[in-house]
Amino acid sequence: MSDTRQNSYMNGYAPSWCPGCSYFNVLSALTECFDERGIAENGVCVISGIGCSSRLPLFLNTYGMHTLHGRPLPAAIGARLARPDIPVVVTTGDGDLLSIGAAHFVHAARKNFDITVICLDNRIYAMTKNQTSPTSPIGYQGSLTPYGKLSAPLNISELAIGSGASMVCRSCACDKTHLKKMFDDAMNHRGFSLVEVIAPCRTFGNQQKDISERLYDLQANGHQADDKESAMRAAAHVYDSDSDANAGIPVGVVWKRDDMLCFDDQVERVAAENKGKYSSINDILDELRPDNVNR
Amino acid sequence: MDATNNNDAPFTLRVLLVGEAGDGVLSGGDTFMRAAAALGFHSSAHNCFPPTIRGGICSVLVTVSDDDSVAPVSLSADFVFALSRAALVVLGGAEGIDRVNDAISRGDSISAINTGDGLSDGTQSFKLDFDLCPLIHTHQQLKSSFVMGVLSAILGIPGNLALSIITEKLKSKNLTEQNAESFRIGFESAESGILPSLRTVNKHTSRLASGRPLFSEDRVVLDGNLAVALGAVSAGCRVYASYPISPATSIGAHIAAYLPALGGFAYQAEDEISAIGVTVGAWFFDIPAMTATSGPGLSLIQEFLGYCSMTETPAVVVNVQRAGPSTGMPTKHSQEDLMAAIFGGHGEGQRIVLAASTIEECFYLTIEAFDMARRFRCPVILLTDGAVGNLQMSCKRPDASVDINGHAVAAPSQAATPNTAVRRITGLEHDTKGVPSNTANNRVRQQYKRFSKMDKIEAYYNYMQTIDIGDLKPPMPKSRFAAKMRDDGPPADICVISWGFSAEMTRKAVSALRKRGIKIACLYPRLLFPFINGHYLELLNFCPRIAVVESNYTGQLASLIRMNTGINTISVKKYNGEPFTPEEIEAELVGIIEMEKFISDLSDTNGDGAAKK
Repeated sequence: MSDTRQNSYMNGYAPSWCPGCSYFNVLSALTECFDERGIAENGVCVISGIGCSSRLPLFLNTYGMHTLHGRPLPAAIGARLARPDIPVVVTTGDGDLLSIGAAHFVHAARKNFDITVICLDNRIYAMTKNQTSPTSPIGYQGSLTPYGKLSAPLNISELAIGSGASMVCRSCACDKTHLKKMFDDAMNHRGFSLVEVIAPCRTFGNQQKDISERLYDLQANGHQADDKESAMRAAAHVYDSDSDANAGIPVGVVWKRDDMLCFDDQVERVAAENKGKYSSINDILDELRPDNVNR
Repeated sequence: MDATNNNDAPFTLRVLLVGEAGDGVLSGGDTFMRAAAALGFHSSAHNCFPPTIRGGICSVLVTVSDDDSVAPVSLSADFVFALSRAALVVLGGAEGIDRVNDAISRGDSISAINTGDGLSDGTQSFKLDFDLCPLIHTHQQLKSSFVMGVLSAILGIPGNLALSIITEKLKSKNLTEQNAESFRIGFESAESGILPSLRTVNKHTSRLASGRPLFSEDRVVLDGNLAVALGAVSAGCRVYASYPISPATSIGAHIAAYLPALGGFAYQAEDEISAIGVTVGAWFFDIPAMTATSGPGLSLIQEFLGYCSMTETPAVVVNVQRAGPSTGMPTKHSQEDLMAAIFGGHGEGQRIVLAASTIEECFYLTIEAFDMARRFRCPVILLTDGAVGNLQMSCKRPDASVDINGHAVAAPSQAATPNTAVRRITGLEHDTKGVPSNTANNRVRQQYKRFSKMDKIEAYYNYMQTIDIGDLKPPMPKSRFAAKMRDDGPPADICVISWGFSAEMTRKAVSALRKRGIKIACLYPRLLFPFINGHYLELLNFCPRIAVVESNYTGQLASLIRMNTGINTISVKKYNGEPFTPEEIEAELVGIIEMEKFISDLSDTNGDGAAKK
């Protein structure tokens, strides 16, 4: 566990996570990634919703928006439209992104905005003290589901690929080097990139805490990330350990295409195509004379 | 009025088109309204259509006048065109649009031209013989061109002006020739059939045919929603986000066409929550942004409005009010969202709420909304309503370099300068550095800081509402708040307060009442919140009797006035989905004055019928 407080991207406000939380690793990997990319403090905007994962921007001295529960992506889209020159990173969790914010996730992915979404999947609501989340295992006992979760977990990567995201990565909060690599790859990508981070909660939950031995790297195993069938297969196996304690978890770049329409590029195209159509309000008013209906 | 010279007589012509959706009623109204505007007349089109995709009865009232103060809504019409049998049933009074029935029942002044038999006594009816144009059997929408032909013939609209407007509108679509054919057949059928026997035709034809332009200055055809879009563009709005919702959608449709050329973008979001989120995300970087919505959308965006208050992030929201609650009547007019705009959402946050009563105010108040959002760093909600939002009118070309009262203002920034200083915002309570804080002292300090900035509102925006006293003499300072006690009675017979579209109709009613010698003092607030008590209290100097005119059931502004000033008012309310007409307001106000007089006469007697000395 590195001391993130020494990092130049940290604002000195002590993270409020539980001691030993794997999120410290994520924070450290992200700031080191910024550092290695040479990003200035005003050269990136980190946006989050509500939850443990969403506290992250509060500890940084970059542009930061700690928004409403489930709503980081709308704010991120507004930031992209307003300042296309500033990259946007969203830090969110399984409850924030996939429950209350699911609609925004599906559409931001579908529209393929140039946004990097880091989803810290601890498979529960931890800040509100142990409720089941969309990704909790079947039967998981949260405070609102004392007789166990009655439904199957949602697969984040499958949903992202199915929605139209152009890049999906998976990593584990236990491996800072790999996290940093995934964050860097995702930020290099033009289009919607999701980094699904397996990050079991130390305080709540009955998942296996140490899963580092069961991770296997997709790229080292010849995974074809641009092939949708292979990608969906790799995406599918994240929760196999719910039923098989020895099942492996594939990490790395699950899915990546560079030939999908990126919304940000389309905005630029529309602007270029309409350049000079109006230069001021007066040009518009000229069109609105009573006898002019050719609008 | 000089009857021998028609061109000098005041001239107002109202034409009501009624038909089934698909008959082209709204398009026909648009064409006629533009033709009259192009001839230099003041012209407006008040649309009334059902929320169905197709089906139901649509109507549009086109008003043409040489007086630009004439009201765009009315209970009467000079000509009524029923474009289908179903519309005729409505006209006949079976069910449906009340104002059509009212128009018919007015008798003499109406020439109903319809597809069948005569209607009420005193009206002349003619058959619109669509069979003359076989194309209409296969293309229902050609009916409106036929009717435009009839109108052009009987009103003497010169030089196929209406046809050229129809043709222009259809440029990129099919049926141009078919519309021209339908127009021609309609024109000829009217010349040979209707025109010779039409009783009321002369006063109208000569006037429109001469086409003497009354408004020489550059006019533009606007509707309230378009005016909001133009105001936003003028104010430097560069990001717009919205979700489709009646009756606000067309704001986005206009602005989406304009923004890319001006370096911005209009984004269609997956829901209203996302739309306000995008707006807030853009304002985070000081890029002016706006969302527009209506009733249900206003409910959905409340949480983000609270976020704006807490984080002191600006936001501009336009709410085109419709009849609620829930889905309600999506295409119908109301003024029911005042309380939701001011008090909606949890917690106590800072907001500014404005209301526009005219198309011009839609333009100027949108610009003000951006300015206020920047200045006070809080959400600014501009309330418009279904009536003004959809109302089409020939207007004076708006000028972005003046403020709402015509004072010159600094040029709005065309390209906003983004703030490059790093900032973080959080919806958690936080200290002055933006770090979350739960401490009691900090909470008190921060709430006070956020609310106290609103104290400056009154000083900044006093000009936004003035009391209109007509030619009444302002009371002497010593008699303030004592209007009742003066020997010669209060200076006014009644005071009137109204907001939104009702305010514009009230202005017209007041103007008519003043001509009848009734003394009235009025207040038309455009800044509804923060609530500025002084303006309301000042009215007491003129008369203790204060009527509040608004389109809702509960009397929302009346409640706010009582809550803030303790003044009890008399509510004049209408909540049937249609806006007030000036005639209705006039009758209500006269009723109030007469009732008060009756009560005061009663109390002035000693029980034996003799008046007190």
